[in-house]
Amino acid sequence: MAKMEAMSDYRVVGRPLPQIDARERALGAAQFVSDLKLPRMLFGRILRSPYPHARILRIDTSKAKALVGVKAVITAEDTPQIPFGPRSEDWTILARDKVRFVGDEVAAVAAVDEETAEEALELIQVEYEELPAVFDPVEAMRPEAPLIHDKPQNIVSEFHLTRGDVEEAFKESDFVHSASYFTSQVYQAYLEPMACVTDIDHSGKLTFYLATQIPSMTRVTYAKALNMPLEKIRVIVPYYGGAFGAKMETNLHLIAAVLSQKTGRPVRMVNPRQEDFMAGNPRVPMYIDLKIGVKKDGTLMAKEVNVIGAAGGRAVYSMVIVATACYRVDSLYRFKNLKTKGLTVYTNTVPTSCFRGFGNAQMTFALESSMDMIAEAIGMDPAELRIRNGLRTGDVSIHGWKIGSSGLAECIEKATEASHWKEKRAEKRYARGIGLACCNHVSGNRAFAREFDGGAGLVRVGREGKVLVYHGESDMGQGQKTVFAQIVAEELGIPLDWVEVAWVDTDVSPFGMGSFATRGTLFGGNGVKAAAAEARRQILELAADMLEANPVDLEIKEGTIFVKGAPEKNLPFKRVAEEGLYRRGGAPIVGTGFWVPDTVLPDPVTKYGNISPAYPFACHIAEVEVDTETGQVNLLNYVAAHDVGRAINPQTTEGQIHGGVAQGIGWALMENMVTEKGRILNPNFRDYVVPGPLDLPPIKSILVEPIDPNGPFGAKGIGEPALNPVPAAVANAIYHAIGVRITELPITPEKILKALKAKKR
Amino acid sequence: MTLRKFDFYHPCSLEELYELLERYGNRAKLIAGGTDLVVQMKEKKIAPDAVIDLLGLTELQGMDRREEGLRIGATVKLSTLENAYILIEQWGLLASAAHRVGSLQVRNRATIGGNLCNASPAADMAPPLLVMEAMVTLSSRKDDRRIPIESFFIGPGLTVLRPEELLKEIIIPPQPPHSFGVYLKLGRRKSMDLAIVSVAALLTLSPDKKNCKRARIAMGSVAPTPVRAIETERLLEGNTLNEDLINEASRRAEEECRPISDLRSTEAYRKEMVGVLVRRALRQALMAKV
Amino acid sequence: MKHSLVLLVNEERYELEIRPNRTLLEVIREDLGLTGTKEGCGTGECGACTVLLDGEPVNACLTLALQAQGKKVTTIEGLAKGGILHPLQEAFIRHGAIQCGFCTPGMILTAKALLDKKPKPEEIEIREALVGNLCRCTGYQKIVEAILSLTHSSGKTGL
Repeated sequence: MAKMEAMSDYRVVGRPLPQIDARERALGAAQFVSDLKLPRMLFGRILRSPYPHARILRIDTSKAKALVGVKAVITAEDTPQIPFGPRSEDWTILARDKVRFVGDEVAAVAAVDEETAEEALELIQVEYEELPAVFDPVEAMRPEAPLIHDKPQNIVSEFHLTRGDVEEAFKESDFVHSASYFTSQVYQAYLEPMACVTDIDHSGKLTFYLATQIPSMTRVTYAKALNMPLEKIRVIVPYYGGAFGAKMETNLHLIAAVLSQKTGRPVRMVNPRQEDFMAGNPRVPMYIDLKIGVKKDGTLMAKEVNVIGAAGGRAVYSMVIVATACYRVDSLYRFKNLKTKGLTVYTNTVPTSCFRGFGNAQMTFALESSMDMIAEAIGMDPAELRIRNGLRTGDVSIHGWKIGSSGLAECIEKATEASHWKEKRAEKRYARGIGLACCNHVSGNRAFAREFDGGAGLVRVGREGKVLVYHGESDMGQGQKTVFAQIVAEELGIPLDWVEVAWVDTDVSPFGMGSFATRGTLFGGNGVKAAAAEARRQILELAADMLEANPVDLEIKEGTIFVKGAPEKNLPFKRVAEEGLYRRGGAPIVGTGFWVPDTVLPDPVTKYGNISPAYPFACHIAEVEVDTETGQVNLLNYVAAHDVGRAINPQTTEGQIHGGVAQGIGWALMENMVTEKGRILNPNFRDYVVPGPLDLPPIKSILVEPIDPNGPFGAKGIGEPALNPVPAAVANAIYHAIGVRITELPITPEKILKALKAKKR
Repeated sequence: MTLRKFDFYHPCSLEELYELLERYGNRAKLIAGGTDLVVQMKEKKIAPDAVIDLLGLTELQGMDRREEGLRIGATVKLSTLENAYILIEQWGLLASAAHRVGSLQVRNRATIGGNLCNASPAADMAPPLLVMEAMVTLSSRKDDRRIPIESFFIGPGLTVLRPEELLKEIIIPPQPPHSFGVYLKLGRRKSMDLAIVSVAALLTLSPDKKNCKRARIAMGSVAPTPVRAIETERLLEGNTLNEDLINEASRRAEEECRPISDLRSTEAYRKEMVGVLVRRALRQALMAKV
Repeated sequence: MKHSLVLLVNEERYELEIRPNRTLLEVIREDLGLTGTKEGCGTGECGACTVLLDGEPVNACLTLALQAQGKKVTTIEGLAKGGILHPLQEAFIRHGAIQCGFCTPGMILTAKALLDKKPKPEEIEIREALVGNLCRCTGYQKIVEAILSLTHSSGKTGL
């Protein structure tokens, strides 16, 4: 498919430019949430349950309240006690009658300094009656398992999907492969722990300074939880230190808000790292049973899958994640017959939620491992098997997903070439191997957004021609602001450094669904692009008047507006902006714009419907060497080819790829939340090991740009696809190296040695 | 996480220090770099009434040659040790072990004395000192007593130090000529990590390198304290160092160690890895240049 | 009981009265208002709190403030001079080595200490020097590239 526009047609879009706020961050001047200081600010801390499941009999806060420097101590009684939740109604701000996981919020303190707040926690006396607890989702469904939320069998939700006739299709298959997988619960390990500052004014209006990926949606949930009108809640998003899915709604914010209400003062609440492990939102662990039927020419015939995911002590987004795991991969390959069942189950463990990949990462590990085994069984090159079945531009998947652009085949071709795939697969070097895995993803998910899906922007042109961009999404470091600024600069024809992107402030910014589901660039980008286009229209209208020309004959380049074909007739952009202000009683030029895709909510029963405006694809190839005496895996090389539609900023796109691959390697090989009776034994970086600079191979990123019809300048997204294929690529490489197949993450040295010994026997 | 309140002292003489130790006894903790102590205090494992800073005491600083060997002051930093020229000749093993501790940031504060007094079974400084048969001087107002490093550790986090005593210095005797030392540490990742298993080996070979005249092997993280593998040493001494002997030695080391299963690793894996590390350490010593 | 503490931070002298149970990190952030140095874990594992103490990188979260008595402390705020960025800051910006930026101050200071000692390190030496600085966003690759870019310049690097 030929590119619609050459790269050289754009001056700003497509350039690998440094992030526009990198300077603030490099100087240490960027104000992160945990840096904010307001006058008379108090420090909050949470008292958490030491038990995985217990009744709260009595709480005595009198001693804590009496401690000098303590300004408020709250329990559930001090909160509205309205059941709420992002997707369910099983949350309360503080535990009411029961605690359901170690770390559950029981009480909270606001004091004049951190030390006093910590001391006060120790003075709160809680009497618990321990209840039997259950920690595994399969165990939790047994009849004798204790009920955590009075839902039968502790099942939060069920997902069912059938297409075609799998039984027939299996019969027609030449080869049927079955395997069971387990994907572990891992921690996002963003460098800045969960944090917020809440403030309250004389009218009772609450301002939340939040590290949040979803400023507007959060506001809606919190208004309900606090029993307040929406307009009395303002969310502002400062700089924050990473999220990777974890920073959505959290009780930490609400508890700080209640403390602000009680004291009339700002409250800063930051999770000590240990507590962030205990009460964060780690990845949903899943048991996956996968059965695939295939013809000997590699055509996929049927897929039957069962997923069981643990929700933890309350449901955050786990049921949506399990659903996603169930059926997103169906739009990676040309599946024809499907039978899918997914169960999300409560357990007395830390509530699980979004982590880069959102269920699709878990299922991709299973699917791509199975595909590897299938390729071997039918004697086909694993790359060839993917190309044969992969969805192409113009395809409509079995669930009605319209693949406006697919660079999957090109990703596979380029990745295999860059990694010397053919040669390395053929050569049999001792304990050295190379493995491949692909993925698909969405760029936005209509099924996740309830009321609407879309993006909006507001572009304000100042008197000096400086442009301020408002959006409703969230920059957690991935470079969103820069991408938006590039899009606006491109649209307006002005230099990038004339563009600033404002902090999200729900008093001013558009209602954005937020940054998740790899939607930021596409949705937010289209929103600000539309807004910029509107601002451009107004500018050109003015300029046309000033130049006595027709707006359609005008062009803007590098901040100069000129008549096409008669460039001597021109005006500086700044001049027009200034003049516009003067002519219009001081009103600045403001362009608002929006973009609504023609996606649909899937049919509630059949799940059919195109949920995303664009679908990114990727192919990863990992090369490993295994130390067969210690079981340790050394990554030698890594190639990641990504279909991003168009890379608005190749440098930030690459940065995202490097980060996603690093996280995937951590998940595949070393990260493990070790628990005992629901208690996390390694809630620290000493014993929860993440990849350091010596643990990563050189990562070669390849950007494939089919130019999507729906994306801003053709862009899709990169965030989650960067991680999805990694564990399978690594597992497949290990299999190629030493002939052992590990289907449980993490793939530890112990497991490898055990498997090697079993193989010998 | 904040620290609970404590009294703080920065004595400038040993006399001052002895007086404080006698006054506070077990209610005080000595601090040098603080990289273990402050963590334990933050994690609420300990809550001393007083913290006594050792970094102002010149008697605990510096390294120098004595007749008896090399003297290392207890508060010598690991970052100093890893680059210390004075160690190269005979005690380079200690430098390479120091380099394996934590991160640059940790090594710029952590001290050899602190590492030993913290008495983790995984303490990186211990196995090299064990194989070099070092001595430690424990000092109190009454007297200085010198004991072999082997007798210093009692159990995880426990040493023979009395409440009124401090670890003053480490003395490493001269090592026999034609000795080759190796320190191997296995972690869960290559970047900084605690040892799942560690092995120090010091072999003294005959000039033609065929015969093992003397063997010292120590292991970390496989017993309540860092330990010597005495039987493995005996197996090696006086014998021709070849593949068969090396394999036998590694098997014997596996039998000698007593690891446990904990959140970091399993007993079985640790045992097997002791064998692997001993084998690799012996091979490396064999291949080292004269 | 409070102790007097004299700190030299970024070549400025501060005289404080503080309780001994305060860490250098707390004093820098809360008392001096220099929030460029971050707290990522509080236990010396992540390096977000890295400062230079007499030129050497240390974890400020594990350093008792009183133990920094009379020592020179350099935080990220002390690098740029008169609005002119330090070459490391420029290199990080140029190479896309900064995403969320939370690890950046600590990372840059550790890199500075390395290059001050060894102006032309090999890549492996750079990676070894950075093991005490966790980054979760970048996978370290562009960070290493940024630092390497300063080692290839001939002559004075101005560090």
